Amino acid sequence: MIFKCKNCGGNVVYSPEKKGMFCPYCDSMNSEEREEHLGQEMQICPNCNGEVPVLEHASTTQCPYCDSYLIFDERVSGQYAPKMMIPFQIGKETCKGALRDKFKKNIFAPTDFLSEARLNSMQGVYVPFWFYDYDTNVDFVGEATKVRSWTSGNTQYTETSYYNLVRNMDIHFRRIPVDASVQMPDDVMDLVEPYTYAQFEDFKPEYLSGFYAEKYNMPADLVECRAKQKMDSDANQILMQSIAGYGNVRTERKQIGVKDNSVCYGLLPVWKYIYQYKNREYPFYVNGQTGKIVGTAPLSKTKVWVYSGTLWGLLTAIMLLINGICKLI
Amino acid sequence: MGTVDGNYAADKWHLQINIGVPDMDKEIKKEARKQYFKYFGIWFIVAGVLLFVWLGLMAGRMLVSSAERSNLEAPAERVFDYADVLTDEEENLLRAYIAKKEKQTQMDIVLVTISEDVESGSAGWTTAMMNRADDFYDDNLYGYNKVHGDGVLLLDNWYEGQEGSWFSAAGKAERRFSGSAGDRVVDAVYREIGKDTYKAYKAYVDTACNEMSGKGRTVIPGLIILVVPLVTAVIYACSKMSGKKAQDTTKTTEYVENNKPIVNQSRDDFLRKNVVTRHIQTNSGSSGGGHRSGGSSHVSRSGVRHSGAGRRR
Repeated sequence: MIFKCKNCGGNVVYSPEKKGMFCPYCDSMNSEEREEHLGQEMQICPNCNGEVPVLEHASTTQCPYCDSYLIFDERVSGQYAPKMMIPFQIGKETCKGALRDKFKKNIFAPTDFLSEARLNSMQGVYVPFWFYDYDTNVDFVGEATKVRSWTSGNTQYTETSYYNLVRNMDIHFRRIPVDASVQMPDDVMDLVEPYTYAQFEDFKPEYLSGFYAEKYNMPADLVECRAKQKMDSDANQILMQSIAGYGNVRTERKQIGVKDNSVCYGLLPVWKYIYQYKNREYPFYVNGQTGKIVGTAPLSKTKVWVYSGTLWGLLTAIMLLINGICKLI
Repeated sequence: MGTVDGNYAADKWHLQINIGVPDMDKEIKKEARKQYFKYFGIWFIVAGVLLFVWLGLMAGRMLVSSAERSNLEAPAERVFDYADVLTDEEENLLRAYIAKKEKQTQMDIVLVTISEDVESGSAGWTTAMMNRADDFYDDNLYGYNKVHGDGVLLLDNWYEGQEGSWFSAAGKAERRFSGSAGDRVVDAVYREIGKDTYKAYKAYVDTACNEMSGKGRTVIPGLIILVVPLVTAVIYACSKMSGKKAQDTTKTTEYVENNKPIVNQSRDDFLRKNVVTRHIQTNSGSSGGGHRSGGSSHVSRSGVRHSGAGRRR
């Protein structure tokens, strides 16, 4: 499918800043008209009939000839229909500003790292995620100590008190996210979190217009182990927080049991900026809702040498000049 | 075309990048230079100001050093070898050397050797030597720029049991030698005096001139100048190179319904306690200290301000 402008026929895209569908050709708002092209070859652009290269898991792409964003109906419907999504909340310009703010002090980064031309290559991507719900019960019995110490005269007293601890709690985990994309690195996707779930909406293909998107390409049961790890780690930490204040805790019994679980499929927004430097890729991912940035700035060895050398030279020169001036005064 | 929030403009930019690669390289280099000068701007200004001040002082010194001697009332003699410890040839060599150095440093340089019992009066060795040195300088109206003006004098006593030197300074030299600089002159003399008397007095002239011109004086030691900038540059490079991808900002209860668990049971039952005691040993200590003596700036019998240093050998 493609969203065309009723007024000028141009491709209408979703604007995070304007919070609506926007035609960049005639500046119209909410003038979109959905055009379905069921049965047509996916590799042919319905707007200009140009041949469009389609990546294996892409559910949207951009026509290289007319710049239109095409949404592949088959990859956003049926088994691939997302139940929910968070639309992009920050636009490309805001995202560029966030990147510049974060890395402006990285003076050893290559000069064009934050240049307008480079940052314009940034892409907005809807990443497929599985969201897991777990109703868990945590049961714990253990012995813990509290130590108190005081001094009276020349004697130091150390009092150790022993307690029997019992904890039982139900923890209802909701929508633990795990990315369902082979392409996206797991550790990076974990760091891009958290998203504010209050902005979850039902899936609408309009939100995809203007961005890249993927259908899930890792089944829910394959990646569930990561959700369970997160659930287990969080449950353990919640338990530890409930017994905080004790010096030493000896566990006698600990059980984390899952009573009920479910999973659903959705999309989350991520801005992706790949910077290429000296035959190496430096990826940066920005949470499309909160603006949180994940990535390490590249290093220009030339800059390291030049800047450090200059600092060394200037410090030496300043010290020598101070000495010289003091000798002459 | 209006402002676009999506990606469609990105590939157009790519095309522009590919078309104008040489131009872009130039732009990047230009931007890099701009960043560099902006970053080190303050440093360059500080270094520039210091360089300017240093050049100004150097020029000033060169102008001053070309000034002619203006005190014509003092005698031309500079070497008074009353103790007769120098040969005539050595005296002449010293006179010539002093004459050369006086022009460079713009101060009178006087050497007086005696062999006298200075402790016969009520004053001690130090006071007696100091008074004799100051009085000799004042009574002979020494001073390069004016009577009792800029100049130094070394009084060296060879009397058995009272051997030692007193160094006296007046005028601008009085200010320069008010600290430990006078001691350094005496030290330089003592290093040579037992081996070669002429060399010892030449060392007096050299050290006094060096101290006056600042050659022997450094505010920041050479080792510090060598090490500190290097270490700072290395620390600076390392600190700017380190970087983490991002902090994990997901809270433990991020995905928990209502951000808190439902607590069914929470019990802390006291079981028992035990107390351990330990005797604390106390120590009493004391600390010591030392003292330093300062330089000696004073007014002579003639009312001229002198500074000086000296001791027995």
